[in-house]
Amino acid sequence: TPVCKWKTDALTNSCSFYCQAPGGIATPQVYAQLLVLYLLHNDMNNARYLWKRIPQAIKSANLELTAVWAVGQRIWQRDFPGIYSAIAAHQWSENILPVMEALRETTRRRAYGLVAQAYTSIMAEDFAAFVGYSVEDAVKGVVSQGWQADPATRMVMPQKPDPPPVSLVPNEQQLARLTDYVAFLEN
Amino acid sequence: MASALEQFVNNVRQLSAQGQMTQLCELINKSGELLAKNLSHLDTVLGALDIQEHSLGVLAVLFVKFSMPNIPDFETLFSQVQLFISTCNGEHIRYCPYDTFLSLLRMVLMHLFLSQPLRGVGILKLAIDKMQINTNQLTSVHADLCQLCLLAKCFKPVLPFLELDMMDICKENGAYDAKHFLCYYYYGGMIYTGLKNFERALYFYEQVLNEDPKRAIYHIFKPLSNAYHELAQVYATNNPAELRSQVNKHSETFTRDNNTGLVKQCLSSLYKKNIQRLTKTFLTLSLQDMASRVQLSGPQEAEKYVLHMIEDGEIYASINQKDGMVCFHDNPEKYNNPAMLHKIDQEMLKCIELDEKLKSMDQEITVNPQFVQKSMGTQEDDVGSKTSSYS
Repeated sequence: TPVCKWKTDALTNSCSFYCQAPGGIATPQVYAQLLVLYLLHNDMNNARYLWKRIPQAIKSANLELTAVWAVGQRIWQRDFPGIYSAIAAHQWSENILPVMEALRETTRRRAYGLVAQAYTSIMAEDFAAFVGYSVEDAVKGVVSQGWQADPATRMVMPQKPDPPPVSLVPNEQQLARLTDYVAFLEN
Repeated sequence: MASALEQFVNNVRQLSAQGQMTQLCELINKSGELLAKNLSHLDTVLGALDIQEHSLGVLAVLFVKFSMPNIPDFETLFSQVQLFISTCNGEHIRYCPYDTFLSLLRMVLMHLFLSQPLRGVGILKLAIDKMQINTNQLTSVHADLCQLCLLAKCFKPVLPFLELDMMDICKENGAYDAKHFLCYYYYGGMIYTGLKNFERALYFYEQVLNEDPKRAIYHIFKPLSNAYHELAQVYATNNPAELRSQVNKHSETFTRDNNTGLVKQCLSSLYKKNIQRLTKTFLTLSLQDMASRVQLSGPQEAEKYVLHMIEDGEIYASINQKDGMVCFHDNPEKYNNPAMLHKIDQEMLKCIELDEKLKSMDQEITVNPQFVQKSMGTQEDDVGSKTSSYS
């Protein structure tokens, strides 16, 4: 039987699924879990190669595994509306459901961030498709965050996001480093 | 146990305890036939030896067991090999029959390659660990690990090795060959290509092609890779229609070489390159205009390209759907913030470390007696003073 453990990486605060299977082949459930975790971390490279090495027999026999990959394909194509519909299209098992819901939320966050960064004005319908909400809900949500919306033109004007806070280096450390550099360059 | 075998076990124990490595090696090399004749007793022999103290003896037995045409119980033997590699005495292995150790490894791999390549990863990593003196030392097994991961289509296990800068090569008592070096960098390049880290892939491929003898062969191979040279020439014209027809012209070659995926990426990269070139001429541009200049199907495709490039950090721009326009911006980085300073600090530290490493390698060479002799000898031949090529 395969042995599977969760491993939390304290540095990146992320979970990686560690799996060791004698015979080198895991169960479909394990494959599905690993695949969906790669998707959650937007690690499409590892997701694609994982899909390639899953034996064909397991792929054909497993609806849920194929459904996870369908979501992955949408992510690979950067088809935001497709991602939401692929997630909604399947009834996920209790192992996969929480990860899929997390994936949907990270996709939304990514969509908001991208629209704010890339657009000075965007059609309300396009924006709603990006974030997987109805036009009404999508617009209501961002107006409360300070974005502008013009019902006449049906345009939404994103607010540029605040820059991330900067961490400062203490001055003594800086001075010490500069001293090291000068010493190095002069020798 | 037959008395000849008992003798073997006792000799192994005695020579190991006395640290008589040369005699032990000789004994091992002469005992192959004896062990092969007594297959059924080999497990008893293993039971009488300790993996740590009598590593070489255990290695000899496992080697013989694996060389048999028929292996009755692969799983048990495989776990025995696994246990051996993880607990054996690295010093003994490094001293003596390196090629036996490596042959054993490769025999195990042969059994796994086609059916379950991923299982071999664990023992290869263990083997590298045993063979290396430090983590920046390249062994012949590195190439095997890369090859295994490529076959298994799973790159995570080998990435930690690929990311290290190799500063030294494990001699393996002469068993290390240029082939292992080239394979490591070739397979490593393929892995990075698969992961779309093209910069590092290119660096790895250059290691393969930069060997002087290889440059001579390059001239021979050039006419055989015509399709690719033509592709590169057409790419340089920035014309997508031309590039597309070139791709179609040689599609059979590309398919045969399994490079279709990469070729397609060339095509989309040309569109991106042309969009980037527009930023040099325009401050704002309509999506319709962009589409016709870059030869995309229409404003929608142009918007998609720009959006993806913004997300990937390949362009600084914003899209105005109201007017159907794109605004190009300068790189907002002003190089005046703590994050940039931190980055520069990191780069400086790397340079300083590298300099220190080079200084110590230089030092090692200058006090090497062979080098001193050689450079003294050359100085006697030269009339003038010879500046050292290392200072």
